[in-house]
Amino acid sequence: MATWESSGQWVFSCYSPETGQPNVPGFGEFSAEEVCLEYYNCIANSNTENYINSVNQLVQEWRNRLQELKALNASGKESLLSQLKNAVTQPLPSLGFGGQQASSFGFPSFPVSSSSGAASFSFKTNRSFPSGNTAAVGSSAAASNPPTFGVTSSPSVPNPVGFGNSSAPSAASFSFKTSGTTGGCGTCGLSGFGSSAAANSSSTAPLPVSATPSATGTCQSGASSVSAAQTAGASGQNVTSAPSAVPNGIASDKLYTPRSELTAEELEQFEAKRFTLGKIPLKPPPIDLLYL
Amino acid sequence: MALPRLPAVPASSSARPTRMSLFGSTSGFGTGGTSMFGSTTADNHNPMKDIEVTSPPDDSISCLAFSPPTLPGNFLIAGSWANDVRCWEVQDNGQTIPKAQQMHTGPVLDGCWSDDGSKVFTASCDKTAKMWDLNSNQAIQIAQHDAPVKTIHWIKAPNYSCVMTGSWDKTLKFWDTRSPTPMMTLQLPERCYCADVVSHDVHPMAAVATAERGLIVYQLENQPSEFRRIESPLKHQHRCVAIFKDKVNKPTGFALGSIEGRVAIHYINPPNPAKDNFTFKCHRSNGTNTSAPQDIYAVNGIAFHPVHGTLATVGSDGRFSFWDKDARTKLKTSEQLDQPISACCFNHNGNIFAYASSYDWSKGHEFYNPQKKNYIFLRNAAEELKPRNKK
Repeated sequence: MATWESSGQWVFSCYSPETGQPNVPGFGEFSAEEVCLEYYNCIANSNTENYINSVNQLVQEWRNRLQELKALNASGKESLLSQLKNAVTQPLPSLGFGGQQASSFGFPSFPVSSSSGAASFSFKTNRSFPSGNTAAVGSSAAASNPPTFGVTSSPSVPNPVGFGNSSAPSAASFSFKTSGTTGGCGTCGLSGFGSSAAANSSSTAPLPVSATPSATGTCQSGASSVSAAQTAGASGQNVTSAPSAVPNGIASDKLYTPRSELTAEELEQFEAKRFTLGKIPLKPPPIDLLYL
Repeated sequence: MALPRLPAVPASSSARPTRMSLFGSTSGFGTGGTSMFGSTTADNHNPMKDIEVTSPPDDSISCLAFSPPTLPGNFLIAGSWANDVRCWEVQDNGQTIPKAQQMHTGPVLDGCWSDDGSKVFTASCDKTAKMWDLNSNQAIQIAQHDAPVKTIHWIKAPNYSCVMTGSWDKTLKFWDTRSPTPMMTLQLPERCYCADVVSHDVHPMAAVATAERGLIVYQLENQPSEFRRIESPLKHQHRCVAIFKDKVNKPTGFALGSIEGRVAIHYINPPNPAKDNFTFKCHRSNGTNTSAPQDIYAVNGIAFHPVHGTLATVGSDGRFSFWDKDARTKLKTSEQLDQPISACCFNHNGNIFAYASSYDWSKGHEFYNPQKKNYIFLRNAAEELKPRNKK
């Protein structure tokens, strides 16, 4: 743990103390490319404040989590280790650690900034920004390709961050090398679909979305069993697969999908009592299937 | 100091051919006379004095790939965060000639060639993949995901051919380029972070590494199917993977790199896993033996030499290293570049090692300087990657 702080290595990584064991919960996993893409999208939306604040918050949560783990007393360590060991015997498919851990450490839910859709930030909700798709980045150059091999007619590529220079962070700068010592618990909370201990921050979506018929706490695809337990424990909302479908949805600026845009399989899933593993639709449900 | 954007040939004193402006670079500097001869100033952008590819992309380079042996000569493609993929001809004397480029509507994360060298496939944050026909210089969309497409590979199996895409939408999809619907979709446990395919073989296989240390091997004979889920040999985030072959050229294992300056060598079916599989530290400062705190850097790319079977790794520390995994020794480490090395590859016969010098976001946005140039360097790889103690 101490090495992690002092080495300057990438902080948004999962971690397992032993190969063959599941990941220690509480560390949100993001690749550099995902973080970078968020930055580029925020630049395109002139939203760099959001990015900076969110990243700072995630870093703070990482530090908190590290402190917490370092401060575990003997019995806490034992309990963590035995839970990790037990979790090994659970069947895959989820490679992430089971969600029951989160509540035993009393993680509060990720403090969701409940402003308008555009302002609420999550690494996964960039798709729900009304205009915030990656299409915004460099989009003006999308149109023309050089018509023939080797001709110099292509327009120059607009530098996607040409207007990013004024985004010097005003908040305390975050550096991967400093070791913070603030107390308290925090989750590396991020939208729950698949990250190890994250409350689904896309619960900023308005209430109706969280009341989908499917939301009986059975968000079971892949590692999101973590998020199900997490969010169930955290907020009492059944913020499960449907809202996390929002960030991943193709119709990224809609909360509901008209029936006409759903495939037969997706419609079947929405109409069923429970989602079937592997078939959970990635679009939001049609409004007439929601029970308010 | 920024020069005004030049519409045509930069008015530099260089005697180089004018084709360097083909890409319509916004960098404004052109590439002057420095390209073939390494750095002319006292900066550290090219400490290894390797050949600089002309007209490099204007933003971070995410991927590099050389053309297959079916094409005469060598062609290099590079995808970048400027949403483009560029193609150069690399001549035997080291001269690089920009040929063409294509655009996505989002950063390009990966690219690869078809086995016959006529097509280039590209994967982008715009959630699509495209097929670029080099002869007609037309590109069409051939794949759609619900999230950025992180990996793309051409599969040429004995009984079929297709494109495999891995995405942050946690699926692996296989595409017949003529149809908008995937031939097959396989669920991944988590976001796809990296993948490799070896398919021109009796036992074609794919290795896919995901977020949360997921690791799956697929067999690709007849049709893709999951072969085995593997407990990760690493403790941190997976970042890059490359399949290696045995002495009779059969894919037999893979090298997996993480953000924690470490690579795992893992055999699929070793006689003695505990002995045969191992990890080694790399891309760290202060050596690996001191007790002083080290700086630990991510391994951004791994590539195996197609002839010698030795491997190259490139890292956020701005260095590349060559390794002999059988002798378990390091062959060489480069000097440190002034930015991370974000991608690398070998050409089809292993004579050329290409590596890209670009910011990889390893330190967040504060260290991002959009004005800083990105480079692709070419190095003669025939000698330095010979295995240790080769008889």
